Amino acid sequence: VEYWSKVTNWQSIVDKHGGLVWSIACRLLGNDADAADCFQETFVSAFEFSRKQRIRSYPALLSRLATVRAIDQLRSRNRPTNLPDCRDVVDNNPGPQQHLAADELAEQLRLALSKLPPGEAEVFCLRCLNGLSYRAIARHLGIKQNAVGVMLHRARQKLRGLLKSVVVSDEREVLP
Amino acid sequence: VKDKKDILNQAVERLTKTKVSSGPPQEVADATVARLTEMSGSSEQPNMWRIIMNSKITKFAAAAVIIIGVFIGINQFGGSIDGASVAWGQVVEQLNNYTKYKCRQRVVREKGPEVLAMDVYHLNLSLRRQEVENGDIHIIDMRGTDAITVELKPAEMKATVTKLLGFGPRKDPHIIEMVKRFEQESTERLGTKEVDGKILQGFRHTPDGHNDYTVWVDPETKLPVEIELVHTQRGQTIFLDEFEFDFELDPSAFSTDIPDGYEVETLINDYRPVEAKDVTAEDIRSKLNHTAYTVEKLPWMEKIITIETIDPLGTRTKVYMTGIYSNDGNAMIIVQGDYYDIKRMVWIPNQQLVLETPGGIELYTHPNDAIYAKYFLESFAKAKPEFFDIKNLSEERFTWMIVMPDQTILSLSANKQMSDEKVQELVESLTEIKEQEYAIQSPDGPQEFIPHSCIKTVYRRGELSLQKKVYHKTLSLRREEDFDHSSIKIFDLSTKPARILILDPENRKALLKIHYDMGPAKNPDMLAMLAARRKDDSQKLGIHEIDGISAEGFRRVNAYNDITIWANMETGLPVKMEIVHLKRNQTLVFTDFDFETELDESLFLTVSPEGYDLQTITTPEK
Repeated sequence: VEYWSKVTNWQSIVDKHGGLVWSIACRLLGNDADAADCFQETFVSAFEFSRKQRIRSYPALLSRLATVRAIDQLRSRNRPTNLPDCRDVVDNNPGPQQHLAADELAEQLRLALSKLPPGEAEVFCLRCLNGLSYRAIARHLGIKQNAVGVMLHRARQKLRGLLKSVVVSDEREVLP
Repeated sequence: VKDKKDILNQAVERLTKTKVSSGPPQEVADATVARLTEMSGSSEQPNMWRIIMNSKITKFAAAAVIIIGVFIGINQFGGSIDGASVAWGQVVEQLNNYTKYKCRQRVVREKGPEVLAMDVYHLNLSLRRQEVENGDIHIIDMRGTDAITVELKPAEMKATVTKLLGFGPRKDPHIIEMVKRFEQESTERLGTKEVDGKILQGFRHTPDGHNDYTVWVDPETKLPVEIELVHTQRGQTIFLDEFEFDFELDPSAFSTDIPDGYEVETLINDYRPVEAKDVTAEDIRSKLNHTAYTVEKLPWMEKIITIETIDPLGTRTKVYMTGIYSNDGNAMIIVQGDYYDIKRMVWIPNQQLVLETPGGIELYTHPNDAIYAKYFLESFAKAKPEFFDIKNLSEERFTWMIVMPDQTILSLSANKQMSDEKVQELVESLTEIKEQEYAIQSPDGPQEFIPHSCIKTVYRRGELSLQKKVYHKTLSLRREEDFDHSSIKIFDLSTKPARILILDPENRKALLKIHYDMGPAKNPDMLAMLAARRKDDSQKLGIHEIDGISAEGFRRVNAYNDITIWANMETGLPVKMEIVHLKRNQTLVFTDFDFETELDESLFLTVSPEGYDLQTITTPEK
């Protein structure tokens, strides 16, 4: 019993799982400054969660919270401008000059994710980026596995549509 | 197969291959820890005991054990007293002259529910009376095969009788009996102390890492005056004093008959041995006090068999063992039972964490790893020789404990080693057995259904929330009317899409909801109640008069619902039913049943009446 209710050692949790949270945040947000905010918000959310109920699996909870917080940031990042063109995103978050076209594709995916309904974006990230099973996602989100499949399907369709429109608009702009 | 040309797949690949540093910059980590430390300074840490004891189910299951009390704890840690030799000088010799004694007992715990102080009268090793400081009286009689505990609350004139079928006969391993077992050589003399002008001689005995006894003896009588027992690992100390040997008390003080005028509640806990038998998922769900799991068949699983049997580890409780035979010749056993409880398994976190799945399932080593695997496999092989031949018991066998994300604990034993991937697949295939599945599959449920009307009252968080007249035509078709006829709802869940018609007679408005994501479905409350009527495995509550009708009560409690049904003694039909949705904090009470009035089909049509303004909504939006 003592174990279950003992005081949480946040230093050791940040030490142990910080790498996981950081990699999710960096990958989804694409720059260190935003990732740092996401990192801290993720642990603060985990802390608040721990006050309500005991955390059984820190990696599972933290990876989900990091994903949700990162998606929140992606959405808020694009809210003020609300411009569909990927160039604006690149301008907002300038990367190194040597970024290849393929990296821009990753950036376009970030932009597209910010335009999905949050639940669909979360399911997509948990499945396609974090590699969780349908069952695990269903358990995390408290929904049925079928619902995970439906949300994932919808997310994929929408993302494909968004990515294609971006590519088309790119092509148009490079035409003389 | 992923289409590599697909733009989404390309984008995902790019994103996942994006190089990121292995961890945050030190200043980010430090700032985060500082913020968390600051926040936790003002936080109240969750108290697991409080959470456990707030659960109605746990309270129900724990009640009888709490009454039997701390003594059981001594037995668990100190061993059986049966057949023990006694040799502890004059004190033991003197103690052996007495068969009955009285003492005052106080328990101090670092954590956990408070145990009130009480006077305990031991008539013999199987019969005792406890007079609690709050006025309650407990009688514990373990002489017969079926032990009985009686809890009397004179102030409220209420009594709870708990029958522990198959629990006895057993001897009460009380502290004084343990004291008799001390051996001279291993008992340390502590010197003397003065209490109420008397000089007492102290002794200390620490038989193991669990119990630490201090006994203060009156040198004149050579009998204990004070005993202190520290349960080191439980954080609990028991103090006994005010001893009286050969007390005088009328034998009726130990009777388990309930005095006249008391309102009696009878509970039955079944400890009888059972023959191993095949069970279905719904059997498990209905019998466990916590979430029940079933194994979803994976391609490499050749056979899956689930049986109910008595715990091979000797806890005298029922367990449910699921045997899985794999296509590579391994036999795995997953065990679940009420004994696998977070309170009892406090040692788990001290074990090695061997696997943690992305879904949050944890697997820990077991201190008796191979021995327990042997017991489980042997027990399964005995019940199902065709499943597993014990001659094939391997030296590679192991046992791990599975801790599900909802804190349910199961064990996994396997005859041969398994790869982490396979273990992960196996534990991820564990699926919660839901109430609805059970109810729909109930073989005798739907056949018993008789159309009727009744009054449904809903209480949320203990307060009256709504009350309606409900007409149940079938398990899937019902009509609900507000008493003032301000709203009528007709639910037709018999087909997909399900249709719900809401009528507002005053304003002549109709709203038709067509749910493409629902149906065909059956009313879970009605099904749950039908299941509760299956008298064979429901707890009997005796006969009471309800609304002037002699009715027999049945109760069935599971992880989701606490269902009580009072059935007419003559017809067997319900008179009153109550469902407590434990997780929703909601109580539904069904009364005023009418099984005689014929219900016209037209009452259940989900078609807007003439002259109504109809609005149709489809879900999901089409």
